[in-house]
Amino acid sequence: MSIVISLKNVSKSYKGLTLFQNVNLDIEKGSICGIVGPNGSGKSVLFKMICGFVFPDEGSIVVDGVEIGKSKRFPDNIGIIIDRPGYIANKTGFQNLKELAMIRGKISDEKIAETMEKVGLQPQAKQKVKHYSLGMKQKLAIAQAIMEDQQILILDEPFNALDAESVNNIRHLLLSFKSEGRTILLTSHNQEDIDILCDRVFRINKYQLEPVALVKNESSTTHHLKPNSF
Amino acid sequence: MKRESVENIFSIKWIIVGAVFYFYGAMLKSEIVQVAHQQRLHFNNWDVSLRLLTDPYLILYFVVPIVLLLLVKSILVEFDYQILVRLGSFKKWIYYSFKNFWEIAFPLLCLWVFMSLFMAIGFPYSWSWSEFSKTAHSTNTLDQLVYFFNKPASVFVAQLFLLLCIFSLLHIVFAVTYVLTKSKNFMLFISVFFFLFSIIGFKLFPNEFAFLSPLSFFSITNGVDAFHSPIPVYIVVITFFCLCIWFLQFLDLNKKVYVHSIKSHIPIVTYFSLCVMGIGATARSLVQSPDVTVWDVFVMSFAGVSADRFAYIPFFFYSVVFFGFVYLIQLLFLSNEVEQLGYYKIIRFKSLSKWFWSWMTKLMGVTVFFLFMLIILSLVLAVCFGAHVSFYMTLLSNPLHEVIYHFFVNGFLQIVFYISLVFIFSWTSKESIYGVVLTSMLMLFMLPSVNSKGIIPVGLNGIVYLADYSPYYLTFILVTMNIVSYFIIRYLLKQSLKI
Repeated sequence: MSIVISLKNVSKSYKGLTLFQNVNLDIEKGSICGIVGPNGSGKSVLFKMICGFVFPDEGSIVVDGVEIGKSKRFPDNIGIIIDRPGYIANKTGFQNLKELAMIRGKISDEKIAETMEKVGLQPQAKQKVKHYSLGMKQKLAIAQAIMEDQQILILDEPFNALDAESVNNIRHLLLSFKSEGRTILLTSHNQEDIDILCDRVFRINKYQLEPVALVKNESSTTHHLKPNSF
Repeated sequence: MKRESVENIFSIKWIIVGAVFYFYGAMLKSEIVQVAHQQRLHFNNWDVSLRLLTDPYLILYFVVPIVLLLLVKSILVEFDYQILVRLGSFKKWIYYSFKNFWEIAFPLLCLWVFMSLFMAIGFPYSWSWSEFSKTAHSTNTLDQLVYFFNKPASVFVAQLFLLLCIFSLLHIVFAVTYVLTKSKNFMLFISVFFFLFSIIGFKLFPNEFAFLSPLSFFSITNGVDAFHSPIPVYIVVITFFCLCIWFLQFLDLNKKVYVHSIKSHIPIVTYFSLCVMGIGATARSLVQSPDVTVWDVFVMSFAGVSADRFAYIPFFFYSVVFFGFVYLIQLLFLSNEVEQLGYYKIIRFKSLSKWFWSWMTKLMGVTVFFLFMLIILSLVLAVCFGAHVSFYMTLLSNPLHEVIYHFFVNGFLQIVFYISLVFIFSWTSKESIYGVVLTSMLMLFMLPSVNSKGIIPVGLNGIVYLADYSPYYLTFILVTMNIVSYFIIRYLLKQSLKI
């Protein structure tokens, strides 16, 4: 399998706090990789480095064959959930997604509506985002990350604030993306999400990414993952 | 800042903005009518239109805060990771934010222009300057513009163009600042700072420093007052704008590599700047007397000091130029050669003497080049400052060839001696910092009455020595001292092999 994301000897300090020291990581295409660690351990900073929002102090990051900060700042074809997305409160969910989609102009209104339905939102609803619940805002965040068929997904806590049914739905969705060959890097504080979805898991410990042995069998996956329309 | 709160702030803004323009325009209108009647001068539509579009108080206390608010809003709202990742780079985000800024700022400009023209209703209509505009009096700010623009309509267009340029520049600068700092508090701080600085610049800066006031770039009338011509105003704004656009090309690069390479050049750039400033200051002070030639500037720039002819400025400038050069050699070359690289090279040269001459000959070549550059720099700057291009000096009775001989031959010998001395100290101590201490100590020998016989080989290449000594005598001293220093070096190198 080809390597889609590669970190080589990456070190990073943030506001005087060392987060990573000489970290190496390779993520293969078509895999789901989980990053776990306590709050403040640097998960979000790691994701921001991979996306090119911040540069590592040392080392290099290559995404899809391109070194971040050399010929390209942010990788192409990447969908992200990092921090809370800034929505236009007085517009509907559809209008918000449309605003983002217009930047690249790659997808139609139908595709936006289809994506909204996939994550459990109603594209025709006139409800403005300021009246959305936290869970709905999270679904909108997922929708924007996947609506343009991004091949690399960087998802920081994608299951936050979702109800059980929605969690199940999004798990199905991510597994279907994996089977399509998309690469997913995610964090979650819920061990179940990690166990069900991830092929490999790394824990941030003492400024390093330590591989975590996965206890994974068919029954655990099927037990927790209820049948879905996908 | 949340989008919803920002959206709410801007819901009824344009009605209020339009009303303020209207009432301020009405006030200007009545003032123009009143003053024109008092002074029995004809006025026309451009008097009020141009006044409203260039009025410093309106710009400073009303337009600038609104523009700052709009641009900070557009930057903070649009800086979103979901948007950034779709745009692909910060550079593209700045253009995206720039477009959005103009979408929200364009109504302000339209309203302002519309009100400027609307307020002219009722005034006599003309395409020419009015008597009122041409007359200098306290309430008229347009009288200077009459000298540079044939038609008042061209001022209207020029002011509009200036506003487009300065608003755009301001947005790009703020957007770049936000990308670099990503701090909302810092954005608010620089907004407030810019506003206060604009007020201070307008109210407190004397006319000689008016070019530093931001208002000079918002209003063509203030720009002409500051620069005595409208052209420099546009040149400054467009130059800064182009520099910002050029800088955007590097915004997305990992700058750590570049910072490292820039850091290594800082001593050279600083040194070169100091040399230019020193020679420039000398040239500037000399050209005030009419007969000064380029060689006078050269002589005064590198005059140096002697025991009997001492002055602080030549003393410091000599120290900067010659000790500065030796310090640079020590910093950029000698410390590496002696402390780090030397040993790896020494084992390949098989002889310390060969190793010594391998780099010493290079440094001698650099010294000759350096002296050539100094003479060229001083002559070029002298020409730039308006000194006469003649092959004689008015400040020194010595023949020119003697001065050039002294500068090159004695300068070369003096610098080689300094380098030898620094090497001796670095080699014996194995600490390059001692070489720096030594150069500082050498300066002491240049103080008044210390080197009264001209024997101590420090500062002997100063041209001022030619007033009391023959250049060939100085050459003799320097050659002798160089030979002594060479034998010391040979001795030290031989001693090292005994370890």
